[in-house]
Amino acid sequence: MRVAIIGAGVIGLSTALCIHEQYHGLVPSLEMEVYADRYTPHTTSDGAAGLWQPYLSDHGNLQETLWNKETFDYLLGHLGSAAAKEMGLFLISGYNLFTQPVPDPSWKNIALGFRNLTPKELELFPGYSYGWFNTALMLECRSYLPWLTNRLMQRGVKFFHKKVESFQEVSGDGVDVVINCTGMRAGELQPDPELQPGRGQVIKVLAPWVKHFIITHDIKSGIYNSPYVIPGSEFTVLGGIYQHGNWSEENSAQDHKTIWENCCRLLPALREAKIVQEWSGLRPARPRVRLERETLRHGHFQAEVIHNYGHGGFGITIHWGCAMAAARLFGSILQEKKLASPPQPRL
Amino acid sequence: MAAPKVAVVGAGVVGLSTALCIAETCPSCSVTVLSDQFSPNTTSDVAAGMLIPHTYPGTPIHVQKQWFKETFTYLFAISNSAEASEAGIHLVSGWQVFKNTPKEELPFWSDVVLGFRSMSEAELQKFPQHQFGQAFTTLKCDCPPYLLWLEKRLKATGIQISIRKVADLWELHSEYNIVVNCAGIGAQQLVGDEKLFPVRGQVLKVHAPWVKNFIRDGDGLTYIYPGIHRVTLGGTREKENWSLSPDPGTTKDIFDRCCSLEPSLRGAQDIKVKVGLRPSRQSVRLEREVLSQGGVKLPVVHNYGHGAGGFSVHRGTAKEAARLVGECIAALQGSSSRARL
Repeated sequence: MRVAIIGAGVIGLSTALCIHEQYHGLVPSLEMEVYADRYTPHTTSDGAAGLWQPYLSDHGNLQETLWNKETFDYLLGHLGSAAAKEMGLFLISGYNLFTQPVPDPSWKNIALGFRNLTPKELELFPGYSYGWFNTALMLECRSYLPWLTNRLMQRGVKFFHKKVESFQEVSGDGVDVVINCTGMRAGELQPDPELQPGRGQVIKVLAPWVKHFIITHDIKSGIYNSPYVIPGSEFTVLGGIYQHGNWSEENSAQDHKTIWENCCRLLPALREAKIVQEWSGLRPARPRVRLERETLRHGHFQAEVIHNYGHGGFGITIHWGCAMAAARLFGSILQEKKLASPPQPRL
Repeated sequence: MAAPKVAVVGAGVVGLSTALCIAETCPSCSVTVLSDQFSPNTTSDVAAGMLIPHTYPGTPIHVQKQWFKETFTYLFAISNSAEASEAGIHLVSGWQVFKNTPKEELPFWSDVVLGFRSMSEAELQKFPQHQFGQAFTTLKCDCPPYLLWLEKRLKATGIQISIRKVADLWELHSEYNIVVNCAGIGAQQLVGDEKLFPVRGQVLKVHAPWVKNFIRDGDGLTYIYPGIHRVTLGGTREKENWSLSPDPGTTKDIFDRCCSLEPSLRGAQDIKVKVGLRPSRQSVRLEREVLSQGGVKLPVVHNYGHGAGGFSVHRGTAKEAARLVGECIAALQGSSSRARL
């Protein structure tokens, strides 16, 4: 049984690992391959700061909230392990700031120690009159993706540096199941008008005195269009750009100015921070994550495809819950092919 | 008295902050800081500089709380300003965890730090050996940056800083009108205070930049304090131990204790070991004294004996010391006008 994963960002690699961990014991013939034209550190996941935090509202999408919780709990369980540092996983506390009271988020009981900000804390952030404090997790993909890659290679998963132009290209080659984790460019394999870029830009600086994440919100501008500061293990990420429909991966001088001025107003000491890097990326935005099976038929061949893309600006936050859901879909494919049941004794 | 000459002995956090307060409250004073040790070789440089008070048994709680509040307010304003990174002041959140629930659930400083509350069950799961905990956000003063920033502020006000080992406060009587004694553990020799004793602390300063939260065991012995560039792992509290040499067995013990609180520390790099002698006393000696020999008087203000709580109360005690210097000046002016009759 050959399984091909297209895409090697956080979604592709974690889905590959999740499926391999669960099924290679049950399906001895399982052969897994990863195809991607971009690998770490050149994926969208690598550009993200890596903070686990869902959007403010789940728009009634309880499924996504559950996947976020599954991811948080899974990562929390790994915190005390020897692997945590190698995974780029650590706890971090911080602030969400608003100019007016807002309802509590869907994730208030998932994160640790969630509470409202006290008046004295709000003095730190002139212009903001309401906010939250909580402890969450950082998962830095420039460590996590190599860690996932190592686990996969140890399991004998093969990697190919290749841009896949069509599902047929892979399934026609004898692959039984294709896992589509192509993120922003899923539309190139199968048109999907619901998938749109949510362009972001970030400035990475050296500001090691910053120990908290600070995410501001402007309800009118929308998510991530208001300054944020996220301290990583090496750099601090300054951001606050979300441009729906903008496909440009080039850094914009105007956006740089917006980010820099807004973040320095938020944290005046940032003016002393040394700028190390600038990066732009496209959040693969979709009204809902596309996580479903599809049977593709062409000629004599039939291929099962599991779509797992469209995670917007919360890919890291939701990745493991989606990987587990994709693995369940994989299990149902195996059931249908009767490959997961133990071999019948020959009479 | 025109331009009273004030000598401040000691250039740790107490000496430098006291000198700065004197300059702020007495612009006409001519202040000189005298010390044989400066940053990075003071006791203050070894400390993590966390604003978590130590309780002095001999000082009324409301006084300690006032000192802490003044210090916290002062540093809070700096942490919020453009100077924060130069001054080495930053906010840090974390947890104080207890193996057994403490008798007093609310420390006297709980409403001075930010967001103080009990830890939730979910948060406590990270600490399986501990039953109870408190979460809060406080400030940290990183040294050397904070001491260097204080020195810079002092020089900007015209204060002189001199390297000099003062063997006896009296030796200053001819050059200075008032002496302020911020000699820390050095006061034992300098003024012969037998109530002052060292409490040796060994710490590790390690590279572990993924540690963003502090963790402190409620017994005060084991702690993890993330600074700007290094995380301070501690520690020990060895009474009457004067040794400034790092002990390898202690290093391993501190490391193991901290790793059991935060397992990821096993990956910490570049471990540096430091030792400091906390200048401990039942209460901070913060008072005036007049030394006299052969009819000559030398007013002294003592400000030492801050033990484990120097950073937490430094600004509050510095302000009080500056106030006492003001009293000394008034007394000198009073007696000099009497002398003219």
